[in-house]
Amino acid sequence: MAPAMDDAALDDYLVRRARDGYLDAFEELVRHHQGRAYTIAVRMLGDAHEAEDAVQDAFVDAWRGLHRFHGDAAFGTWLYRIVVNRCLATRRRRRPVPVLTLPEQPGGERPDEQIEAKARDEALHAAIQGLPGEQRAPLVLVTFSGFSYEEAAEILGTTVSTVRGRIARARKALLQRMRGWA
Amino acid sequence: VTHSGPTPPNGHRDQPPAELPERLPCGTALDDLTEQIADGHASQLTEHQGSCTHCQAALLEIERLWAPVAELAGVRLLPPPHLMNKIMSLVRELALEVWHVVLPGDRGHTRIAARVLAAIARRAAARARGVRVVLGRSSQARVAVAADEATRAHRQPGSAVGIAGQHVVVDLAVVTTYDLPIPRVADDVRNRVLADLRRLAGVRDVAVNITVDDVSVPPES
Repeated sequence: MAPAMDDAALDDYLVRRARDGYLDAFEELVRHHQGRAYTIAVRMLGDAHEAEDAVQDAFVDAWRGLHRFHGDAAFGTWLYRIVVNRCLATRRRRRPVPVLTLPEQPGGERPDEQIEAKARDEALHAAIQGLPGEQRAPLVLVTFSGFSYEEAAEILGTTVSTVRGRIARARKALLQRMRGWA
Repeated sequence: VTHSGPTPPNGHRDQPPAELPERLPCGTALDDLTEQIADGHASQLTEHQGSCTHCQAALLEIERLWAPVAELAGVRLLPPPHLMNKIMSLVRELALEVWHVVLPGDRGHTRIAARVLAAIARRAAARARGVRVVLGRSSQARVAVAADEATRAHRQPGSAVGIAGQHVVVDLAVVTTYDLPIPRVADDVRNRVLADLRRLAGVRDVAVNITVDDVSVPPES
């Protein structure tokens, strides 16, 4: 492969080769995208094991659907959309998340800072998981996975202004939730 | 869905804090300030913010509230090392599943790759009378399309073979010569392909689709 290829061109090349039946090319695509796919899934689901399954299923879906991918979007955009949809489907299937519980604190004593920080993080995780999917997905993409509003809109198949509006509502809910903690 | 999480320590155990206001007394939307903080532009004050105490106080407060989120966003998550192998072994299984026909037997199963069947079909078709050219075309069947896409590198050019379990679909695009009736050519092709696939590969459940793309007129001599 020419080193001059940028990421998108390299992806295009690998997709073509993967479609030709070169599994090694698909393996390279997995190598390139698994990190971001995994980050999205962990933040979408709040559970490392479920995230792993969702990423795995998404890549298998991508392999199966490779002949339907025509390169009008970047491979990453297409893949991350599959990941997000997988996560949303996982959430619909499972029963309500059990309420995250704090480790028991020694009675009457003021919890030390570590325990408090841990409780605060758990509250944040619960708040993120409590967001409706249509808000959680854009928030996860932009805030936790480093995509721009434009990229997130493309991944989610919606407009930038919709993404902005949903993220604004998500942020507001998180702020409200963190007011007792920070 | 209940996502209540732990209860905050400082005074909101019984009553949740009041809703955050939409706008500050100066008219600035809280959402805008939150976006500024979340996008990491806390210190880039607008002209109004530079002189507005409401905005400055709100920015500080939002920054404090947003800090745990920013911290979480900064955590770099690494996929587990075994993830890629798991994905690729599933993909390899699928790739094999797609392009082998399996002939079950008492003493073990026989798998024949699609490209083998394609080669047999193409050679058989090319021997039929009235056939000038045999070309591959992907089948309309969904399974066959997947097989076609997944096996392009492995198959012989000249025919497409779709396989699902013991069912085989062979798609042939044919250019016939001008001198013979097309149905007769098609029958001849089909019979030869079926006979050879049965004789050489032992597969019986075969459909042969033939598309006549063109008729070749012999050059004037």
